[in-house]
Amino acid sequence: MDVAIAQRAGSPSWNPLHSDGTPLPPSWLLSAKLLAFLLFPARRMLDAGRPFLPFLPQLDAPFFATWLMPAVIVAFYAAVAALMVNRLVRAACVTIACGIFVHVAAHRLEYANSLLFPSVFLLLIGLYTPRTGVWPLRIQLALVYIGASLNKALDPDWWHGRFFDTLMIDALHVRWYALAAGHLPPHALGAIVGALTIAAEASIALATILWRDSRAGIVSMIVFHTTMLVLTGGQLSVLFLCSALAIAPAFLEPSSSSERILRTPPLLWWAIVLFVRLLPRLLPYAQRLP
Amino acid sequence: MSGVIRPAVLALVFGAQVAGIVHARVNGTRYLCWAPYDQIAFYRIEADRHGAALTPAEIVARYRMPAAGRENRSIQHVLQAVAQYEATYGRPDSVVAHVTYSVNGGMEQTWTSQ
Repeated sequence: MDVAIAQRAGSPSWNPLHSDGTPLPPSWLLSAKLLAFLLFPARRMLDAGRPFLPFLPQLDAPFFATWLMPAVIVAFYAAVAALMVNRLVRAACVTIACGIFVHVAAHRLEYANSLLFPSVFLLLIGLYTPRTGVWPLRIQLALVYIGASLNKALDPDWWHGRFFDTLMIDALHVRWYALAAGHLPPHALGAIVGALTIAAEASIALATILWRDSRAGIVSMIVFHTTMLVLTGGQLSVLFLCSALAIAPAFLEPSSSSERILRTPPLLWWAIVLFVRLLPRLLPYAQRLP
Repeated sequence: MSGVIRPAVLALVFGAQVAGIVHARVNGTRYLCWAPYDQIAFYRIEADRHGAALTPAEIVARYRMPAAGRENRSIQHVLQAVAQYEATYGRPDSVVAHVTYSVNGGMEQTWTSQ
């Protein structure tokens, strides 16, 4: 990590598109803003109301019921605003992440991996120190895919093909998959795609933690989720792909050989993340084109 | 943040996820173990109060979940939510809930709240 950049003194800009002059490296701050953008406007947090079926029974106490969520929402919005204008950036990242954690802890039904994934990375960015560099992010990414691949590998339905057939045919109604599966022995396509998915996720975990170049894991993650997005006609992996693209600047920046990537204008990252985020809404229009 | 707190928070964050991955093997839930779309379960919630069935709208209002829906992580999440509701907020109502579900295209099973 370029410590000189991270510790550059001076007054940070109020311009949200600038990321210089804060305690965070510019690429990390860019990632933090993109992640916060993905969590914003936190409509579900606004709509959730007082704690409901909390993971921690204490959050159901009358003491918390009235003020906890309003306080979390105020802190969340204040932190997003501060982060966007380059003020108190590390504290803002931690506050946003903790706001989401409290929201989920207070509302069991709000638990979602696509919500926790960007939140955990925001927390880790908030805990940035030049001494550990990108390693906490690498460990986190590896943990995600170790967990994902292990859960699948230990489930017989993934190897048998039952899971993927149910997902693609019954749940997502993917036409090409149903046609292809119809031409093969029962569950054969599901078994192949299931095994490939397990292998791909295990490979991402290994590449993230073992490969000398820290870019390997994040690039393979982006390729994997893009593939899933295409195979499911835009129904799956949108939020994970957005999150992967959002954390990509933090991963891509440290390598000294990434000069070319470093020059990628921040606006382009914003455009890419925004485009993928809006993809599910754009696809129906694209399908109507001649 | 001080030099002691940061490593402690990192250890807590990573440790919770390792515990989640191990815990998922034991009790069937999929919290903190990164398992989105690992199990597809179609379910249907029915409930009755003193023999009278609740309407789908009443079920949505009660559990904040659709009366018939899909769970993409583990059906245990649905069952735990219904069980928690009936053991806490819903306890005075004497409602009995039945969740009929099928996991990954398998046979239908029914769970009943106590």
